[in-house]
Amino acid sequence: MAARIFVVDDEPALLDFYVAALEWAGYELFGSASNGAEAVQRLTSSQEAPDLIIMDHRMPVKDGLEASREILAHFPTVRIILATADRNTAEEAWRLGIADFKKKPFTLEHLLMNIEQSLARTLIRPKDPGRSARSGLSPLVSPSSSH
Amino acid sequence: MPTWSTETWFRPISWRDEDEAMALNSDSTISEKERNHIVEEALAFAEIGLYRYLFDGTVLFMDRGAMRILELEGLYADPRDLVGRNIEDLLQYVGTRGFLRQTVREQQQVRNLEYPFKTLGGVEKWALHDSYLVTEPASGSEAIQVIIRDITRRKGIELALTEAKAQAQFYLDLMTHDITNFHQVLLGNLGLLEKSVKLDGRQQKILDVCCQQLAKAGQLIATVKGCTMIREKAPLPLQPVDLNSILASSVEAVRVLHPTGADRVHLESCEGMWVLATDLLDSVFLNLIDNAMVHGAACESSITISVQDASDEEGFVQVDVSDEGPGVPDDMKDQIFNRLTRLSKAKGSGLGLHLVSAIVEKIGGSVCVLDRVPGDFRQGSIFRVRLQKERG
Repeated sequence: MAARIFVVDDEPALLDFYVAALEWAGYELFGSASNGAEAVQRLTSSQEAPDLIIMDHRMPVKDGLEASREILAHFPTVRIILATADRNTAEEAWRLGIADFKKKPFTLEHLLMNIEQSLARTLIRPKDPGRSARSGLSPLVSPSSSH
Repeated sequence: MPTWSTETWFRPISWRDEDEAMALNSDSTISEKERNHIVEEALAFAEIGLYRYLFDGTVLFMDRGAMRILELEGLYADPRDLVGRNIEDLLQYVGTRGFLRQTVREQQQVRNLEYPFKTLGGVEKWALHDSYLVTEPASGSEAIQVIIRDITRRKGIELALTEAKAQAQFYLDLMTHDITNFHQVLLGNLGLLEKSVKLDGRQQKILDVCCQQLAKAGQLIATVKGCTMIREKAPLPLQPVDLNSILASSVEAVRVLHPTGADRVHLESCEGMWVLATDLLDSVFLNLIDNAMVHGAACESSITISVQDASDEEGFVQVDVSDEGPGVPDDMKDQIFNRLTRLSKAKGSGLGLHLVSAIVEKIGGSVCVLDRVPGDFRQGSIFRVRLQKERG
């Protein structure tokens, strides 16, 4: 089972990039949102949680930290990678229990490595280990459905 | 405590030319009346005024300069008309009432007090006060003598400057954020292109150049941001920062900057190590590692980044960026962090190591350069950065 990932960013070109990158790496796109409020609305009205969320920070309506706080209150085990150009949010992200902090700009390889590391904590793996191995990452253990 | 006399009148006034004031005081060829007139004219011209009042607020004296500053000239024809009135009826207080009187009573004087007020006509102004406790000779009553300066124009300029600075910071912040997002889209899509298409050597080189230029642009943004922040006089607010994450992203950025030498950089993991810093710490390690890459390019020097507790200073960690490059001669070791100092003919602004030093000092750390092999600088250098450990 491929890990399901939700992406949140107010920059449409970045959303497109995340979608293409996740598809290439073999992950399943759980959904997307263009700001924090939309993400909270979509996820909290859903019965299921994604395995991981890639969240921008500085967005209109509701920022990434606030949205993460609300989403984690609803789904405490969901992994979140906060992707932002502003590292000053790192401490609060860490306190909130956000899985990882990614300072923009980052390479595709680094993004995929971070996703894999974050998912490793919940034993979720992409469905096509070969591609991750090609990207210079360590070989994966067998896919798990323990989530 | 001085008594009220002509001498008291002149002495506390900080004229631009004190010699001229002294000469005027000691010139016996002019009468006291003439002298007072000259002083009053000069004070009015210099946007300075004088007034004196009792502790209950009763005005004993006010000159034309003070009348002009308080904008009372249209209401009262002669300064003598103000004698006996209460100072509180001649202006509208914006700040705390009674502070000046209490402080003058306790400390004999109050110097350089800036405060806002409104004229009776409702005009908002700023004044600078020098106030002294004096004794009126006739009654022996204690009074407050005030030298008032109109600083409304200066405060207006200060306010405009503060607003302009805030606006410039806002635009810089906005531009930095948005350009970084554009870079992210480009860098990410170039990465996808590289993974999706089989590129030949020439195509790969073109793609590497694109990524490299994007990384350079990112480095420039970080440098500009760093230069802006280190100029701030106020200390930077520090917060816990994951050192391993900072080092990993710096190494990643350097590998994009130097795609052909990417395997020359080795990072020894320091997971769980947190330091007190700001987001400028990225620039520190990006510059140090990049510097080692540039100067060690000819000999393909390998670079190792390692972290450990500082052995001689509790509460600090030291990050060593160690290279096997051409090294730093002893006579250059102190100069190397000066602005615009360059070690070789390598390209660059010469700002990099200066910025490193300025940022590290600003966050309460230090940086120095050592020989990798003590006593033999030709075998490479260690740039050692000490940072405050996060104790939480």
